[in-house]
Amino acid sequence: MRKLFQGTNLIILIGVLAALLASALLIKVPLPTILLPAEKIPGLSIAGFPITNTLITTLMADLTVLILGFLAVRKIKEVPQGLQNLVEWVFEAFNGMLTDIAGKQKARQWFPMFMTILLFLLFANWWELVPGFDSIGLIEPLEVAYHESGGTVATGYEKGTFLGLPSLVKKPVALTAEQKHKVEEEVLAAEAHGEAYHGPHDEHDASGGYVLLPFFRAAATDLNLPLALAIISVVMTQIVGMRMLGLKYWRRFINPVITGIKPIDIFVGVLEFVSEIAKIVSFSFRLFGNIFAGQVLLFVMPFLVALIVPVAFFGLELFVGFMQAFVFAILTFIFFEQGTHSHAGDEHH
Amino acid sequence: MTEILAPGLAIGLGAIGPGIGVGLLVMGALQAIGRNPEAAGEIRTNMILGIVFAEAIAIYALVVALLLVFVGAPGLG
Repeated sequence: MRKLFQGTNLIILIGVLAALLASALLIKVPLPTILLPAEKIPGLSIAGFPITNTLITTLMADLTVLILGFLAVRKIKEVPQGLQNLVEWVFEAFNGMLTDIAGKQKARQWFPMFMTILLFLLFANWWELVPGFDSIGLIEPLEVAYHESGGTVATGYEKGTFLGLPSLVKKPVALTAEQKHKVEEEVLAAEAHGEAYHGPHDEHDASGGYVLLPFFRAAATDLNLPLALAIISVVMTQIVGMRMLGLKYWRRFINPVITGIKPIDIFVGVLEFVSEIAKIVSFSFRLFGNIFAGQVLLFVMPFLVALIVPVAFFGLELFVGFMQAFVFAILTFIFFEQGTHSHAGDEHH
Repeated sequence: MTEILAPGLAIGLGAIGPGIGVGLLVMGALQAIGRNPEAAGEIRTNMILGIVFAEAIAIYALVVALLLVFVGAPGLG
């Protein structure tokens, strides 16, 4: 224990403490604007649908999986090497785990679904940890952000420069009630002319505050992505059940009279139906809640202490990102497995 | 004042139950692994599933807290 505070350890310790002190005193990182809906990138749209920054990240995650898959199978060898080796090892490990849960045949059948969800969500969550995410983007006047967010964003920061590039500095600016009122008036006036609102007309009226509109933002912090995946997962459970058990699958929800119906069966069927709906809610909000909370955590930590301390939380988010991807995929697999349990055996008891 | 207090209470109180639940779950799973290390893989998978369901309750509280922060409670002002 005494050796901990000697030689190089002592130098490292003092260095870390000095860096912490310097970051607390010198480096001032503004707290990014935390906004629930994804920000629309102005001027970008496909067929009238606005492009949000989370959509860009979703496409990046898709591309990452595609490129990784392409690179892994480009030169297939009998004895795998490099990337092919890694991918084979990961796939074999997960395939073994699924075989333990559901048996060889089912594991083989549903492995692609499991692995697609896992890999896509893994990269979608991990892209968030790359520097530049949530910190590179357009600088908008505070008034525009106030209007776009429907009144949620009312504080911004002053504009400065960092290495010759425009940036925000840690000097908060809040809109006064008067300025808020003026924004609403000007928005109405602009709409009457059929124009979009581009900030205050008069320079003297401007609050001087600015808000960053990031180009990239973790894909799962937009509820649309988890919700879409959850619906896919639950609908697939019904399809898989139908394919494996045929019409018998629906006896999960409704027991036909011929089989000797009991009142409890009706109740169980209703419960099963409700739990199917609840699955969508818990699937989507689990992923969304975890990733959104992680994003806020990564915003707040550099704001409090800019150096060293955030590294630990990046490590935590690395783990959480994998865990949520894994949980989503394994739950989908287990619901598939539960949905295809034949109830035929029950009648013998 | 209520706008600041409400989301804090929502997530704070809502996290107590799942916190205890996750603790109990991991305790049970670790004891089981300690007694029967061969079954570690299966126990771990089931433990993660249990944690996920316990955690879902905390997520509901988080959603309520997020709604209170970003959408506000109509009627509270």
